[in-house]
Amino acid sequence: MPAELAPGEGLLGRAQRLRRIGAALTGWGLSLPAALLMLVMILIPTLSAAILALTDYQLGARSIRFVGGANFAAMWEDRVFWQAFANTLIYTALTVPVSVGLGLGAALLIEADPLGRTTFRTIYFLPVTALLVAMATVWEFILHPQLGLVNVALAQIGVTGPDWLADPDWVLPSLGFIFVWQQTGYNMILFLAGLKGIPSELYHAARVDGADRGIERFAMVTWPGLAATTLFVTVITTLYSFRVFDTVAALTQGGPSNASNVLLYNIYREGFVYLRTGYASAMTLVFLALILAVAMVQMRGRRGGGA
Amino acid sequence: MSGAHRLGRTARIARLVVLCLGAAVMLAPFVWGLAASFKPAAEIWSGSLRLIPQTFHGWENYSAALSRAPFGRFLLNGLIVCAGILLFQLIFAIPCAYALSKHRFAGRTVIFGAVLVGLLIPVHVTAIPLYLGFARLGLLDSYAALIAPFTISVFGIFLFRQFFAAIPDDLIAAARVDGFSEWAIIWRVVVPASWPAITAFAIFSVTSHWNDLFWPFIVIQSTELAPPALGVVYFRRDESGVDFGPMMAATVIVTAPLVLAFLLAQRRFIDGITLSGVKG
Amino acid sequence: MASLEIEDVTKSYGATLILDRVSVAVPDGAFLTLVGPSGCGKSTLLRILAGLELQDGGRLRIGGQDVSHLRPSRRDIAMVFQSYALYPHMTVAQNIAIPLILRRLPLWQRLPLLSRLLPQARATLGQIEAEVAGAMAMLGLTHLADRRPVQLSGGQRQRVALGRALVRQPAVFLLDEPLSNLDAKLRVHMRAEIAALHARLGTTFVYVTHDQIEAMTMSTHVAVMMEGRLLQVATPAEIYAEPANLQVAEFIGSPRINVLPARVGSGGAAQLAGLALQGRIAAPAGASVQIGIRPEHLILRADPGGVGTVTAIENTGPELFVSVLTEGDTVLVARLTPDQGAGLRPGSRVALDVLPGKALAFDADGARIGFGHSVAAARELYHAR
Ligand SMILES: Nc1ncnc2c1ncn2[C@@H]1O[C@H](COP(=O)(O)OP(=O)(O)O)[C@@H](O)[C@H]1O
Ligand SMILES: [Mg+2]
Repeated sequence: MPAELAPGEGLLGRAQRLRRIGAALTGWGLSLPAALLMLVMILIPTLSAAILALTDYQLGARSIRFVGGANFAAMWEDRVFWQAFANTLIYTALTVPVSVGLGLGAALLIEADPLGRTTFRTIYFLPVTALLVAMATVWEFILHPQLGLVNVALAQIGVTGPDWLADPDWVLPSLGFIFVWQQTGYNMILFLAGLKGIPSELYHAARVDGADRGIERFAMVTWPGLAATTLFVTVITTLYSFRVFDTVAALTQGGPSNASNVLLYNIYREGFVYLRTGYASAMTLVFLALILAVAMVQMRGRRGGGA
Repeated sequence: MSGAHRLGRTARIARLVVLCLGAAVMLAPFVWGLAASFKPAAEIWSGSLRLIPQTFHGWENYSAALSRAPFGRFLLNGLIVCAGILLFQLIFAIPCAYALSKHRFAGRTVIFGAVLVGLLIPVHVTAIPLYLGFARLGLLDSYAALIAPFTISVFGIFLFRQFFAAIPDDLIAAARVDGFSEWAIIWRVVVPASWPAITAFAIFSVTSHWNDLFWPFIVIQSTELAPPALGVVYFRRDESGVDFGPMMAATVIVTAPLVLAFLLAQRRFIDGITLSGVKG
Repeated sequence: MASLEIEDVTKSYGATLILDRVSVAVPDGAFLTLVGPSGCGKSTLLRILAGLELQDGGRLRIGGQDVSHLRPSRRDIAMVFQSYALYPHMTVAQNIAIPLILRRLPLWQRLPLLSRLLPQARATLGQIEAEVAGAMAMLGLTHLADRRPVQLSGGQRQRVALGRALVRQPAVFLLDEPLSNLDAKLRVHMRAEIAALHARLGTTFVYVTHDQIEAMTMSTHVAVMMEGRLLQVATPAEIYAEPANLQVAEFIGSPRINVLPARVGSGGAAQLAGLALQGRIAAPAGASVQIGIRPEHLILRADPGGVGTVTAIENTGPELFVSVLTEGDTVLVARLTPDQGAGLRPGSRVALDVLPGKALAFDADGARIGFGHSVAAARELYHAR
């Protein structure tokens, strides 16, 4: 009998090991397709972009040569690149504060009173669902130098409006305006959610503590309660504004004379029009670095906020 | 639930005035574009601020737009691409998110780490190598090229993982005792319990891919394969921007589906954007 | 034929040992309650029994069959969870039916359309419906058949969870603190209902709770667990009267057993402050021991010259809990009937006595040791009262 027990133990041990392996296999089996796709569609391409950035590869060329940091050195000298880089930052600096501020303002105003709440929320959100390139066409029409709605209206009060999309000084603000038009509603929705997350007891408590005026309660409760939301909305809006491409590609093609050339459009042009793949890859790394910097700000901010 | 619980009369009027002004700006391109799509060229270029067309030219504008570019085709392409992307995203992301939230296995942290890294990398960064890869495979200018890069959504995995984590472990355990297989647990227990997250993600996914221009711009050459955003660019290029009536008609055609969907299911859209936006 | 044997089951999470060679065996039809403080490993043991966790070592047998490595669905068990774990998207009837559907209909017959068309599948479904209706009737759920879990009260959800378990007619029922989410009154009611269910079904139950009242009132077998070890398995009466060690004695019984340090005198006599105990302790003279006295075994007599002073009296209605400060700054609690305690007030001096043969002795490590009595002397004392 004891002689039989020993193999029995071994069998049990094996059954357990099998079950444990089975459990691991189930976990892997369920996540493997996704893991492989992540590898193939995201991680390997990102690495490849980093490697391509160190080569002189040109789209369609037969040869490829390792050139080290030459692409980055070239970028340093490249006035068009710097202009695109600067334009992206200017565009971001113009649009982010405005669309975050307007989004917050709209959310606060809408929540301040029940009258028309749903209607306004719907109207402000409408641009988010609109096809941007299509609406950009309408904006182009509205911003037409002579016959557009804006300049015709300006003319009636005696002001001659500029050619919004063809004037180097006005093209970025005009594109930025279209971005703000679309992004404000999105930000508003996020702020509305943030406002809902503030417990109403806090407002009652503030009232009991003597905050009689709305502005005092805003300072004591609303604003601190929205800090995390504001950081998040700012980060997301910044990331979206870095990605400006559609309006540029559809309306200005970077013009006039690169006044509206931005990073992504420049990457597109270098990579797919001039076919300088290696060089364009180097620029995507700069673009990635910008994104990572913003993501780091957010992580820092969240840790600082103790959330 | 905002700070001001009772507004004075003046404050209420001021609020309405400001909100209405904002609403006017928000609605302006919709209204103006829609109006122009019914106007003849002469009226569009007359420099008048009249909204209602004097001569109704809608039929001509819309039929001109539809005859000069295959807008039905663009919309169909948009539908195929968005549906394809969403389908694959769900098929791949849901089991992965389930495994990440309810299974413990060696390598789980590695996969989740990859998800977190993936969240930081937009398609713009991977576009060039992906393009080269598709070129090598001869897949450029195809539905496959439009869909494949987005079949994996790290954001979807992230969102679902968070949502699934809130499903009680006991419920999963009960399902195992009842005799569900892991695969059946996913589709018959976890998914039905997660509809809010799934609709939210679906809305987020469809909205972003319906609107995406960058990737189709790079991989698509044929007009027949263009999704709506790219279709508009092609149309603009061919029309060289003189004939605004048909152009506005085209704009209305490609914008209408999503806007109408939003108007019909507002609550879901807004919840969806909120849920997928508040991912921090 | 569904006895249950747990043999040397061990489990650790990382470096922490959660279950330390746990062994229990109960016959078919037993109601085994695992009781112990929160975090002692009861749920872990139950989940291992269900096959939801994998033990590190040891075996499990149900009805004599080794199930140590079977999947949960193959073990012929049903489980009721603390949180009920009802499928939120299914109605009450569907929740109860699903384990039967999964077991009896092959995958392809479960497709919504096919199951209507195939005569064989339709017959099976009809049979299932009948069984589900029976289970619902038994638990008084019939009028709730089409509700979803969110539309039910806590007690109703509890009943659906029970229904889902019993409709399967499993060999063993596993219940993990099924009553802990209910309010006190409902808990008492469901306690009786579950006990009645056990009596009616005659199936083996394994019931986890941290509530000793539940353990004592419902079980045929109580297993007391602490820190991953089984301290004692016995009938409720035996657990109470003959605890195997001090931990069990202290865990079971409310108010808690009084514990006094003592020394063994010559001839095994117990030497302790303020109390005279008869009987001989089975330990060498000079050893330190602990004496346990249940509150109801303590006798108080109003006596101006007594060594104890009443410090507090708690009146629960049917009985009084009287706290007495005695020599050596120890506080003892006595359980009296209102008549017995009629003359006592806080501050009253009392003399203390112990019902003969009822004091328990434990060695320094808490293990139970013998405390023999002269029976005649005890009887005499008892009648003198
Ligand atoms: N999955 C797990 N990982 C790590 N520790 C766990 C896990 N599950 C339970 N534990 C630990 O095991 C111990 C016993 O848990 P449990 O069996 O749930 O206790 P009980 O049901 O008796 O309250 C607890 O200390 C708990 O923290
Ligand atoms: Mg427990």
